[in-house]
Amino acid sequence: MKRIFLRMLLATLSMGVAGLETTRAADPATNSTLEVSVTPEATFAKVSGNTQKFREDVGIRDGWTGGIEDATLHDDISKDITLDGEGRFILDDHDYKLQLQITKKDVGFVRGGFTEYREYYDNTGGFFRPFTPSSFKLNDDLGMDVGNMFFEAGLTLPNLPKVTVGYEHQFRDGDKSLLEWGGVTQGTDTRKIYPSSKDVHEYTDILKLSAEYDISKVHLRDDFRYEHFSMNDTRADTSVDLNTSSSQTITVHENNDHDAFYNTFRMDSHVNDKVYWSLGYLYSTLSGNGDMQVVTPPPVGPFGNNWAASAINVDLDSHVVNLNSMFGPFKGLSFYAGLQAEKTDTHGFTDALLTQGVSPSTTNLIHSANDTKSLSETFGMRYTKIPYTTLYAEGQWQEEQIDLDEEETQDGASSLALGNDATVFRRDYRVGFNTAPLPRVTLAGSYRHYVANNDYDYERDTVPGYPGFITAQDFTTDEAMGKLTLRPCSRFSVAFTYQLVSTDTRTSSEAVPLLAPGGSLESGNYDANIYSVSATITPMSRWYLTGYFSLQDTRTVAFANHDPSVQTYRGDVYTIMGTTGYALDNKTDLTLEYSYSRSDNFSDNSSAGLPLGLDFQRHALLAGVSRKISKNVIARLRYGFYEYNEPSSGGSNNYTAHLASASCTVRF
Amino acid sequence: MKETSNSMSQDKPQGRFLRAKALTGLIGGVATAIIAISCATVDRVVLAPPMIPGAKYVGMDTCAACHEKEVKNFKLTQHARIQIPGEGPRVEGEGCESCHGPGSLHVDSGGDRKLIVNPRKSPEACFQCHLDKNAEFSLQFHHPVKEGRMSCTSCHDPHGEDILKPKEMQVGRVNQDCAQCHREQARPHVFEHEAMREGCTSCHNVHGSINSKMLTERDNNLCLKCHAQIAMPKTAGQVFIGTFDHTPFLQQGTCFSAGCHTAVHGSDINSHLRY
Repeated sequence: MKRIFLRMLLATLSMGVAGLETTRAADPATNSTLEVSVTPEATFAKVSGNTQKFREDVGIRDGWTGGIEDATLHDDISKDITLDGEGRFILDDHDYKLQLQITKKDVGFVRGGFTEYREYYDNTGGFFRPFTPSSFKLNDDLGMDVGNMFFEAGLTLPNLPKVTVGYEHQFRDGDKSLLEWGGVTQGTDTRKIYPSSKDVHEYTDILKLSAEYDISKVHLRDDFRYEHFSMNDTRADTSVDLNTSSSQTITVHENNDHDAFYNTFRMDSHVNDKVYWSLGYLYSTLSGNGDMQVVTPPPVGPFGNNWAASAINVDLDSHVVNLNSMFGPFKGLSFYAGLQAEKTDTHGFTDALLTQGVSPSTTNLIHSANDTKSLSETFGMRYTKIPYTTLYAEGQWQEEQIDLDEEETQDGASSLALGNDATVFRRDYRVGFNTAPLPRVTLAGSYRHYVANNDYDYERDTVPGYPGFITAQDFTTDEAMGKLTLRPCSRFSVAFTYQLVSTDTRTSSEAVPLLAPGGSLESGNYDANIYSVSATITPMSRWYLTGYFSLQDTRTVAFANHDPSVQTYRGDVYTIMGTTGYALDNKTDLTLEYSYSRSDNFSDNSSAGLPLGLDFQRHALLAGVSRKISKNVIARLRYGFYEYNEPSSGGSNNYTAHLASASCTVRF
Repeated sequence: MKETSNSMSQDKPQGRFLRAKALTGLIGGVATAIIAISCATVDRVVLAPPMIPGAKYVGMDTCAACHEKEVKNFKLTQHARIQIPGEGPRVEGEGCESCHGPGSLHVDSGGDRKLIVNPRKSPEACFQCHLDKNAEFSLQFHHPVKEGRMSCTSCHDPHGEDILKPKEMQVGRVNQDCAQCHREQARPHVFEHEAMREGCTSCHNVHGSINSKMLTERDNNLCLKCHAQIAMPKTAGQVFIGTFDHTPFLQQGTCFSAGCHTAVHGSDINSHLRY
């Protein structure tokens, strides 16, 4: 598929170029400025330790890789026609890119391309020190190719509608790690630390058509889009018993396809310098179907069922309308206001066979319906009359109503009937300023207050317990940010920022006889203090230095009723980065980059549960030298050193890596 | 099945100190040698990205000569509200050039794209203001922005309007930006997870995190901060969710990674998001 597409793309663009060449040949006055550059490169990375972790962190594989790091093409074929291209082709790293575009001014363009890169995944699971061994790895090298192919053509004729048609094929193909870990049993203890993976085959075909046109001062635009999404994924969850050296694997196969149509129509106008308005409407519809199989080795039980869902259908219809306006500035004051209404209906249906405990299977019919209506309003203002100062304030309000119905029958008898009317009221307020009180000094500050109130009214709920249990949930977030930038001289600048974030979650629930009295409690609290400093120094015209430091100090507390297996989450992270560039002479440049990050939040909670938090240090050093060998040739050498230590994984994630790379840019 | 060692990292502090000392000495020595031997006259200027050697600020009016639409719409963008008004050197670099760098060489060359900063190609321009995002993209688990496989504009529209307005196909629907790539997670399910109503960022730190899958928390706190109920005193030490005692399961692992509630983005067959 990819190969065929690439051939078609190259053939089409070649025809375009050939046509343009004919035009150029017929026009001797044409002054062509063809610029081509190609950068071949070879890289060798030697890794000791966890190779997969290195690949996941750095995004390249160990061993030899090489190819074309970068290729560019620009040709002003004639006064009105340009050809642009860029490419990248790194073998063994699945890192490819090819994009070409031909543009003729006031006529149109043709462009196409292909990109692909590989996302690597570590194949290590969790860590539990009392076990021997205390962590496990999958035998597979995990990696998933992500990319797209696209082709677009557009007409940009003056005084006529601008029209663009396009096709895109997106894909994700390979194996990725999961956090769905299997159990490991040793003695009488079981911990879920065994790694698992997912075999992913997903693609999306997209057809696009858009048209835009100006009538008087009104700009009209319509975008149509059709998407066909297809997935065929399999995940495996293996559990092992170290006492008996046995293992079992639950596999989940999921197939799903959906077709979706979207159409957006928008119109907007700058009526004059002080009045602007816009109007938009989106209609989208999605129809999906699929099947699913959960295969559990015997003995199956209440949480290890065999499922065979032969028909899964989900449909969605959505309408969104919005209207916006902006006025001003009037004596430095500008206002804007917006209104958006949305109605989205989702219907889901599943016809499944379920084997619980022992055969025979039961037939389950599941149906859900979700009808969401929302209305959002925005109002904001900006004031710029204070010298060198901008003040702004904005408020957003959203009222949402969600009618949810879920029903399930098992062999004809009702096993679930849930009817829930939810109302959501969200408010989001921001105020802030940006000012330059003195030459070379800028100061900014902002404050945000966000509240979301969710109320759940259960019309019916035949199954006690979740999910029909929470009656209300409130999220309150406060954020404050300050930033100071100083430029005491042209060769030095420094910026400081501080950000405070606090989110409280309050949950109300019904009473459960003998277990819970019902009522409201603060179920979660998240606090973050983020400090950042950045500086740039240019001691001399041939030398620059940049430095960066950040401390992210985060903490999350959840209500766990004093269960010792749940502890406060701490996510303190220090990051230091520095770069320098130095012109050794008129032909030679030296660069050095260093980054360091560290977290020390590990808590060995083995006696009560699993270890929590992360203790790691990560160093990355990249040194490079480039030399202009001739007017059109630049050679580069790079050396990289990477070290990662994670005592909280028992050392199983540690790695040390050396990387050497040589490349050469040739311009024609 | 492949097993790994359970030995903890045995790096001794003395060894680390000596290595750091040797590295510092090496870097210092190389730097001194480079400065000492580079006596040649250099008439080039090197500047930290995203600055452009030799370029000066020209102001938005100059940009408007070619980029009329962008300049006209700038007042509608999120970035407009932080633009400092005024004239003179105190506010040079405001507006277009705060992200695209000084534009004089670009203007003088008739629009050479190599002589202007394109934040789509490199995030350095965005990091000048969004300092914390620079750190997050450097953590172990991050979207590949610094690697050049994505850009800030893959998810954010810096020229987008500050007010609610349809942008291409995205008319303000929650999670729509993430769904451009993560369709499997964002697709509608027979049983939804209500957390998706608040958005993907309820659970994911989308720029980067020290936690796998860019989770905001890697343990049970992620779920329990919402899924909670007041407990009777006699149940202290036990976590009941509804009527079900989850205590022994929480000991074994995290709600979503212990093989129980694995369908965290929604399920087509189970109302408790088990598959």
